[in-house]
Amino acid sequence: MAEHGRKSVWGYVGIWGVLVVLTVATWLLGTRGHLGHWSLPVALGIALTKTALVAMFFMHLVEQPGARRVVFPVSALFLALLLGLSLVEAMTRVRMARPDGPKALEPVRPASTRTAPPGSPTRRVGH
Amino acid sequence: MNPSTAGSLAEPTYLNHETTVRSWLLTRDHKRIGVMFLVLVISALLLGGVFAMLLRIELLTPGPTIMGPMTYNRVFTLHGVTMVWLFMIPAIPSAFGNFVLPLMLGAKEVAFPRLNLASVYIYAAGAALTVFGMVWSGADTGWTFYTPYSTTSPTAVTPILLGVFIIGFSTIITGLNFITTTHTLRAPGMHWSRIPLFVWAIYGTSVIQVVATPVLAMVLVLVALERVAGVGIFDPTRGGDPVLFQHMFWFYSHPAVYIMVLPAMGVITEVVCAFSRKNIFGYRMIAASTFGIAFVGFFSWGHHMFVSGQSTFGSGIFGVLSMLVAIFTAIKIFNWVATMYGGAIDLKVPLLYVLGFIFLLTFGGMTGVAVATTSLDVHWHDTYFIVAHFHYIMVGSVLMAFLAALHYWWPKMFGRLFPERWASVAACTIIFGFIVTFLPQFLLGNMGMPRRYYQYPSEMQWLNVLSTAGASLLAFGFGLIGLYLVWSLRYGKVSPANPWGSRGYEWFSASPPGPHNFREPPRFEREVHDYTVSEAPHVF
Repeated sequence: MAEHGRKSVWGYVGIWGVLVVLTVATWLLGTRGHLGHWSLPVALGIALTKTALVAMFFMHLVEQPGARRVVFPVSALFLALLLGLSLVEAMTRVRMARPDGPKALEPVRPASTRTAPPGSPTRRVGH
Repeated sequence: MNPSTAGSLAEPTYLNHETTVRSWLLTRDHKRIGVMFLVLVISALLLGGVFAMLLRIELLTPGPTIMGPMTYNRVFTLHGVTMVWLFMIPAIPSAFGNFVLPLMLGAKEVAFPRLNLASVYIYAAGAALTVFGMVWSGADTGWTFYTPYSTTSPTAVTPILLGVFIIGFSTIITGLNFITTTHTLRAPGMHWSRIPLFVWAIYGTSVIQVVATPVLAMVLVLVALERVAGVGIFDPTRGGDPVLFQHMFWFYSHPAVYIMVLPAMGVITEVVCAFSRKNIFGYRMIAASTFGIAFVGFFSWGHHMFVSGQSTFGSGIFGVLSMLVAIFTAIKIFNWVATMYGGAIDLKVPLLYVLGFIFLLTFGGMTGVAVATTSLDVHWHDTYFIVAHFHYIMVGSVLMAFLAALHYWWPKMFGRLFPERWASVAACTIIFGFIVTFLPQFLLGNMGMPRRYYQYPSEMQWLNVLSTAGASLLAFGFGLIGLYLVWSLRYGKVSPANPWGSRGYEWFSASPPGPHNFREPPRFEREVHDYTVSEAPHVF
């Protein structure tokens, strides 16, 4: 605790400033950046940087070697696996349960191979 | 009465140094908290057992027997909720972990005694809310609360969800306390390679509790929000994904199987050593396999979802990952058998339960590998085969280990011996009753009887009658245990300090232990369960 008292307030203010700059950068990229496919990875990268800064300095992980070397990476690994495996499953899923409308359930066949339903006046019988 | 008993009786114990109700309600003594948890989880077991018997009686005949279909739906939900959330998850870690873990480590207390007391009250509050939901209008979702039905069911799902959510905090706190205690409060001489394997098991379990339980809390809150506020997280008509619920639910609830089974394995290791009079075979491999199970257990949740619409690719990955658990489990089973091989077997009651455990775990584990195979699971999914499988692996192992622990540590906890002959009769009844209850359910499932069904074709009746007969035997066995244990509290023989001649570290304290566990600080100068030393442990 005494160690905390010796820390410079300006250090925290500086990190807060970096967080503000990163937040503004996210907003600018989202509204005026037009990065296309890169929008999401860049936004996530900025978010991860901000998370790391908050965890390291405001949650004092930088002062806890054990937490920094073991708990933090293990937590990140578990989160990555939870999200990663769920996403891999979602990306490789065949959407049988929620098709894009009733037509998606019908196999599309060329008109020449289609048969008129029984009883239809256009159905030819005996040929 | 031997001299050590006379000495221990003359000194105050954790039971008699203060006897007021207030001293129990506000205690920070881990032993009293362990006993309070024991009473609570046994009450939950009783409640869940009553629901189980009602279900089995209903299934005696193909048509309606004692209840209507909606009541049946509620009863199987309440049976599952009570057994999983109120009994099996907290049973061994919270009751026996609290009692013996600090004793095994040579500590006076757990790291956070007040938080420990809070965990009892949080558990009790969550249990009360859950029981309130049951009494109010019950729930008919099954213990898994699958969406989208759980978001629309008119029954009292919300209070039960919140009750389970609250119990989750108790689990997290207990886990955190055990991790910190193991790291910081070990007695001199207790380096990492001497930590008893029960403590390793509880430590591994605690890591799962701390890492996984928040995910459960989150998903339960989301379901409650969807019910109350109509947010579209899981409801497909609002753009949600019901399969997402299953991912998030099983990310906790599959590791929760190991929250139940790992402490059970820890108990078995202790009891096997004590009644084989032999040091454990493969200490390091058993400790390592605990963490192997804990780690792989996190990444096999998708095997619950093979028929959910999950991708074939995902199912393949999860099937393979699930099978890996069998390797680590087999390591433990082979090591227990190797420990018994050539040992001076003393076939006392706790060891009877160990034998039951090993049979049920092996059988349940092998059927687990079968149901991790996607093609087979499609046939067995949501049939009684699955019911039988998870009862063998989860309920069988937790019950057997819980009863082994209860009998093994009963003299340590209460300073009394139980009648060995009655206890042996009860153990045989319970093991036999368990097998008769659930073995027919494998056959029923294979014949195609779906789980959660109220009615069934009449050609399946004889197997259902057999299953109900087994359940009656189980109920008789539990009644017998209740009777002789309560009897022994008053009339049982006073126990010597170490009635089993065990070399476990917890027997270094008096039986029952004093308020601060040890009269003088212990120093552990030999390996745990070292049966090469001839003398019984010195009581500190």
